[in-house]
Amino acid sequence: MGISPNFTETSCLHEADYIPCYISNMRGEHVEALETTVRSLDERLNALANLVNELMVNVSLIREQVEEVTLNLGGLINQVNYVNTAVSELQSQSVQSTTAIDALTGQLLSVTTTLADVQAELSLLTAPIEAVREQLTALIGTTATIDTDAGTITGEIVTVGTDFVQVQEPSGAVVLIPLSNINLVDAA
Amino acid sequence: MNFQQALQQYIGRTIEVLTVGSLLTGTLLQVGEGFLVLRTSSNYYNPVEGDVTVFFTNIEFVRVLP
Repeated sequence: MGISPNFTETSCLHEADYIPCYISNMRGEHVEALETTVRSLDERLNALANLVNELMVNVSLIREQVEEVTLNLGGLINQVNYVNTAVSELQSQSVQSTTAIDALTGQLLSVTTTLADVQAELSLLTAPIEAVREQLTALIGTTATIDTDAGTITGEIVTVGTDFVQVQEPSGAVVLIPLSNINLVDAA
Repeated sequence: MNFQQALQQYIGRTIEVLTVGSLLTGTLLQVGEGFLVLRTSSNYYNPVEGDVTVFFTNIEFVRVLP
């Protein structure tokens, strides 16, 4: 027989009872082991059931959140469409603005050129008057004779303004002469 | 100071305005941008009577009488 007898077992000391006794012992051990396994499986099953319940709760929560996200997604898509439209309009306006700025820049350049021409002409026109003004300013306080197309004035040069000279005649009369009308000045 | 501002000091005074070929005498009433207004009375040298507007471009000189 391939079974090694265990004679230390109390109930299997007699050889005649050995095999039944051994089988009985083995069966008892197996039953205990099976019961332990069953208990362990029971516990695991309970734990698994708890986990399944928890999982179901979580799945339910996730489902609610998915529904909420789906709802928000619709609004978000509308907003994205609105933003896309606005961006398109802004791009169109930007192109128009750039064109207008280019046109204005061209006009500004033209006006600047014209202004420079006008300033140059103005300088040419005012240059002779400026020369007369400088000469008369040097004569302030002295007596001079000034000739115009309407006659000659003699007196003390009192003031030289931006476009006129003021002369005090011996009679006490004040004469105002536009610089552009002076033909000559004779510093007596 | 320019010609216009200088003339404004003499509003109310008797002045002579000389242009090429004419002499106007009267009281200076008003000085504006490029013109003056003179109240004249008729005489031998001055046939115009009333308020006369004279433009600066035609004025040779202005005499303010003492």
